[in-house]
Amino acid sequence: MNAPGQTENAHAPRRTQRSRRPQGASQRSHRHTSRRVLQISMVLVILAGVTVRNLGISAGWIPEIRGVCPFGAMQNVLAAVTGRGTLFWFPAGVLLAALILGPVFCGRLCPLGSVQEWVGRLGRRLFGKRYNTPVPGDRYLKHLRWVLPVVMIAGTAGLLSMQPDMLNISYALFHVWTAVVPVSAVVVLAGVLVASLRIERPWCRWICPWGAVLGVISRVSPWTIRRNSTTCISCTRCARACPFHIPVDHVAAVRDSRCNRCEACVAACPVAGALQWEGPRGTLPLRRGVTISVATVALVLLPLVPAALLPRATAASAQGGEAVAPTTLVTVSPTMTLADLALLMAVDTAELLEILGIPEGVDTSLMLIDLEEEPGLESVTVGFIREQVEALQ
Amino acid sequence: MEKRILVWIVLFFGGIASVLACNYTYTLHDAHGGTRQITEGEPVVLQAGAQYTLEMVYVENHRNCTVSPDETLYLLDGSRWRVARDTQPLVLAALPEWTAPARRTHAGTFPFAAQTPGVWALEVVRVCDRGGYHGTLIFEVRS
Repeated sequence: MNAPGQTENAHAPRRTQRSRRPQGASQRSHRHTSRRVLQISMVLVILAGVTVRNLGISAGWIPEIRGVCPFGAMQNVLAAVTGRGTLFWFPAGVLLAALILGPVFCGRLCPLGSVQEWVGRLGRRLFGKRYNTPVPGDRYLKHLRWVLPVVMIAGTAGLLSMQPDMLNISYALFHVWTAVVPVSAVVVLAGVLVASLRIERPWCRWICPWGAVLGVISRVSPWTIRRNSTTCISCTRCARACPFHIPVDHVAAVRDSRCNRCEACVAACPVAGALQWEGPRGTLPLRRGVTISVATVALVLLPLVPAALLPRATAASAQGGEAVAPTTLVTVSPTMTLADLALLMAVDTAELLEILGIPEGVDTSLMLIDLEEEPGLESVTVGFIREQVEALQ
Repeated sequence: MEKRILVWIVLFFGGIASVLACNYTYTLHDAHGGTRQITEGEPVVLQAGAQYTLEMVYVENHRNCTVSPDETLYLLDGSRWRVARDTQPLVLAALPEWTAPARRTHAGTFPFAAQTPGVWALEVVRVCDRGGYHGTLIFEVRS
């Protein structure tokens, strides 16, 4: 049965359908496998990191992906916009990926989305065909995702008494066994997971503030899933496969902000080349389904490269005794020790003490803020130290 | 169409950045009952010899920085802002009293006298492994 408004090749005979080369089963398999591998890996990384840190084990090698949850991402982006954020790197990668490929993060890396999807798989077994039936008015309900950003703004402006953490189910998901998770977030999480048994990704569809932002950005992404109207046989399999009921069979390019590029439509298409990733200059070289997954990881992690290299470069410079790294008011932190400052300035501690007029024998593990408490060092304030450091540059 | 969307994205982030910029809000109360919102980095003019109360409200974000208000560092012109330290240009009259008007929200008041003319920076520093905060308020004391 074709949907109303369907025009192109709506009545193509089934023989035509058979005569065309179907998408290879192996390609479909690769497509699903690569996505699942990414989803599982991401959940495991987050779960392991969070658990270890919650157990009180703190070490540099334990991964912490800052800004991976919807609220954290929003907060970090906004902090970075005002120049106060240093945790922008991961959300920046997600934004970059959305700008180029669409919200691929949601479909492949978001742990919260993955968990909902897995619960949905259980729901599919429980409810069969009754799972994920279309919700009336769904295309309008998606705009509910803008409610939270607006409420966050109103709350911060003092117009409403609301804290986003009360609803942060991503945080609740991974920290549920700790005492710091608000009960309200746990209740919302439970509600979302129960709803996931009947509806595909309810949080992503109607609530996620970060998904709303990524969805809008993705509308300008040059690469997206496009339908070739000449080869399309209008079998509607793509639309039926779409977990968000996007009418893929009616559009030239999938621009719906709900689409998370899960490629269920592409995998369902029986005609090779009728539905595929395309950019402004043609088709993406997708020999296997893994290309988008690899590109997603590369784009999301890309901003982490300078983030990882910059501090190392500074430290390397300090270790090698080269030119003094630029030191600002912020880098001379009050909680920095004398030894830290010496390292930052690439001088030895004795030289630093001489520069600051501090007698030898002072404990170099003292924080800069505490120096003024020491007898005879009342004038050695953080402000004084900053002046001396600036004078040297 | 695409340009329009990009413009909306920029406007959205630009618009909400000003109100979601940080977890702290600052309000200055003068002796006559006047109230002013203070924006970080923007100079606030004070009258030398006048008494003021600086009200700080901060909301813990989900990164759970465990530094309490009492452990937060307050630096005036690079040195600790201490009670009755009359060598400082803004003389703190009393230790702040912190209250929790809502869960994860803390409010404190800092009564002080503007003593020495000049431009002075008050830094609020919370150093945490996760997140943290470093804000600077600029006060211009005029005689």
